[in-house]
Amino acid sequence: MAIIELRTISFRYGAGTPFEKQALQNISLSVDRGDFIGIIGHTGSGKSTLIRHFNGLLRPDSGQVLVNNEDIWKNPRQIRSVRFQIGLVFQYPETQIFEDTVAQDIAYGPKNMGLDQETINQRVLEALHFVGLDDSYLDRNPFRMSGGEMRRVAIAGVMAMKPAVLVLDEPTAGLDPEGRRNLLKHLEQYRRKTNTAIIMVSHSMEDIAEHVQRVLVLDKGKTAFEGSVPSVFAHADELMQLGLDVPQMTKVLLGLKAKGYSVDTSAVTMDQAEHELLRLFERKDHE
Amino acid sequence: MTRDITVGQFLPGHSLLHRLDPRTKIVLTFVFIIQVFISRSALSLCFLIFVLGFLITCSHVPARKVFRAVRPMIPVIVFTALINIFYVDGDPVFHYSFIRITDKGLFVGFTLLVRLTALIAGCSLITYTTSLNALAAGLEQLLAPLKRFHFPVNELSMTLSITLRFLPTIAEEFDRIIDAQKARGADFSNGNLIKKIHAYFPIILPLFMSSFRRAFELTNAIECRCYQGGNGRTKMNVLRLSRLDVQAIVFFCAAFGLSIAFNLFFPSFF
Amino acid sequence: MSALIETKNLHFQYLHHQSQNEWILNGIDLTIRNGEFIAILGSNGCGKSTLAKHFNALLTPSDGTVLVNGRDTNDEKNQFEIRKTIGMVFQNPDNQLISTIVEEDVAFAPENLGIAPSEIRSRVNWALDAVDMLDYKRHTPFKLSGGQKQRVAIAGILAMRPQCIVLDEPTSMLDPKGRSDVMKTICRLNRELGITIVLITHHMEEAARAKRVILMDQGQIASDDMPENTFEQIELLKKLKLDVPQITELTHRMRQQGILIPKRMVQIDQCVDALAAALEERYGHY
Repeated sequence: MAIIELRTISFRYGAGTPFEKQALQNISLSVDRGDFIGIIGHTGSGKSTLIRHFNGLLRPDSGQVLVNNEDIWKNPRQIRSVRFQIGLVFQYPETQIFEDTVAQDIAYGPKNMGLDQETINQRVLEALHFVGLDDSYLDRNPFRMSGGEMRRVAIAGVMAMKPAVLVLDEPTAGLDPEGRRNLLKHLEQYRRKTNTAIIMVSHSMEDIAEHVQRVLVLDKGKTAFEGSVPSVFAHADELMQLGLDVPQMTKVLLGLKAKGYSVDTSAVTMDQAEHELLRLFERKDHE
Repeated sequence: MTRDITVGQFLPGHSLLHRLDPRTKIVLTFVFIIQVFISRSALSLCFLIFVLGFLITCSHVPARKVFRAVRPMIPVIVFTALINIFYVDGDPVFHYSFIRITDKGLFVGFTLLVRLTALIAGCSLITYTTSLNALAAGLEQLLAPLKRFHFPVNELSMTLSITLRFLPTIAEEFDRIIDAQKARGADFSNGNLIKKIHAYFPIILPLFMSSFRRAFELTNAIECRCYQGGNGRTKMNVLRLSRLDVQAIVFFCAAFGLSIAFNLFFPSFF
Repeated sequence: MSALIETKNLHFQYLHHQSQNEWILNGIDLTIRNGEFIAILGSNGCGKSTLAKHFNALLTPSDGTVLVNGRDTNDEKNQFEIRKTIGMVFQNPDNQLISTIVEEDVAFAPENLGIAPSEIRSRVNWALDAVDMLDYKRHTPFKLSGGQKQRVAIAGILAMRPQCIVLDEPTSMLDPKGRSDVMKTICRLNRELGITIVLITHHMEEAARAKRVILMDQGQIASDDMPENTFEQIELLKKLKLDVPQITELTHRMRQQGILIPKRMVQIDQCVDALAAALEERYGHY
């Protein structure tokens, strides 16, 4: 059973005003426990509108948002409780830190859940470890840490609520290569350990390719492609036309294809590309 | 989440008022305010209304928009007028225990109503016909002579323009941080006043921190572009008075003169 | 080509770190000549941003010297001239634009230089055209995308007619389209206008567009070479915690499998051509 499901949701900004804009049209998505889903789309494709529907910050004009098979808008007054089950981490989350110790900031979510202090302390520690920080960070002032460390504290703050689904908007934006690799590694470990589903919005095709199982490609508020990573990346030409970047290797394979060689351009990881190229060389061997 | 923010009430257009130099408009607004204050007699009041009507026509701003600007102030205006009705001496028109309304009181109350309305309506015209950007430029050039007295004219003007530039950005950031804290369970709707204020701390502090960071980065950017204060600076857009400005000034001087005349020579309240 | 920027034994640490004997810049000797296109690569904390800030006297050395066209950055009297010559663009596109109208923001620098109004106007138009933003002259910055804002920021520096522009991670906060537009602009400025470009970055594809790549590690220069040679130093890149460009990794693996591909490849089309050539060579015409 899907842990969270979007059923043909649509959303308009400024309905009825002269600034009305159809931001989302008939988007459907189903996510199971422990899934790792990617969402890609150029700026203005509706990504930021979409993620706000996952945790009830926005209400769709039509369609349903189901968590554990229940419509989250059945009782609009209870919508806050949904936010503890569907954790949402925005872009540059370090900008939302406000407490003067790491422990207190991570505790903000659990505190809002009304948990007792002992449980809160436990969750804070757990979350801290999930993002790869050790106990010495608990009493440190987040504002005196590096950007990368602050970001991990912010993400831990959402993990501490123990959501069933973790949605992250461009979690690696602005990080250097080491920071990026590190964060994604910890996210993967977190997912495997807690079986939390992860939905990651990203511009980085390489990140998507390395970690995600399924991808949803948005274009102007509509679903352009949806499916497994290889199947979506097979549409590399169309993806580039949509203004999306594809990994360098995909471009190399596309280049060879343009020269008349028959290659499978859906290879997305380094290993797959290597395999595909070798196949090209070896096949010629047999002719 | 895009908020369409138009800072101020500027309505773009090409009317006579729109085409005036902002300095002219600033100075003449002051003249108009003085005119409002000195108009006490019935005749000068009528003349004031005539001038205001003429200005509204020249601005191409619909009259109902102008009076919508007055609306928030109506309680204050009515209150002020009422106080005067009860406390001005004259021949009593209505008497009940300690409440005494005189005929003069009624007249003064009424004139106050008209004058305050005209004041706000007239001032709203300048914000409808002048962009905040133009107002800032006009102020800067008007105050330029004060540079001689070491008054930080350029610094003030830059402060104003940077504030205007970042208002929509900060508003957007505000929205974003609210969403982020809501996503962690923040509740802004329930609870008493104290609780609600407390709930905003996780919004206000990050905004402050980001503003400090912004100020620091802006300072670097400004220094890299050779900013050295107001000395030796030139401006790309230099404001110049046109024939229309001269005409406007002449018109206002005439109107002001007439207003004084009406008050001096026809001071009776009928 | 004369030396535009020269650093000699440059050392730097912030005043409040003095007791810890921790140098952020630990002896940098560098010469940058007119017309060069240099990329400075390194992971966070290597000192690349700090080094960049020394080029236009935003920071001054704790020890050693930095000369710009022969002028010492330590001398406050030289600051004005130096900053006219070496412009700087930062990471956050928003926090560089100060006016409510694009053309007025670009006019800011020439106004500070006391240039005549008509000349300012022509410079503003020229600068906006050079970054392909002339159509947005009267727009408000708030409505622009990140890449557009960053190009306006570049125009704002161009309007000073500098000899060199230093860009400190200008694309970190941009989406792919913005990144590509900004990179195109930067390359064009160097190629067509001869402006010296110093690009601080940690994106390998961007560094590949430069003519000279400087790798930094813990306040020192670890390597200073052409991109082709730099990216072949796979062990060094991994040690410095940088990404190895996918093309480099791919061709490296191909070579390990016995496929003859020349070394030192950085561009995609180079790679495609080389692979096609290798295929043809092995198996004759397709």
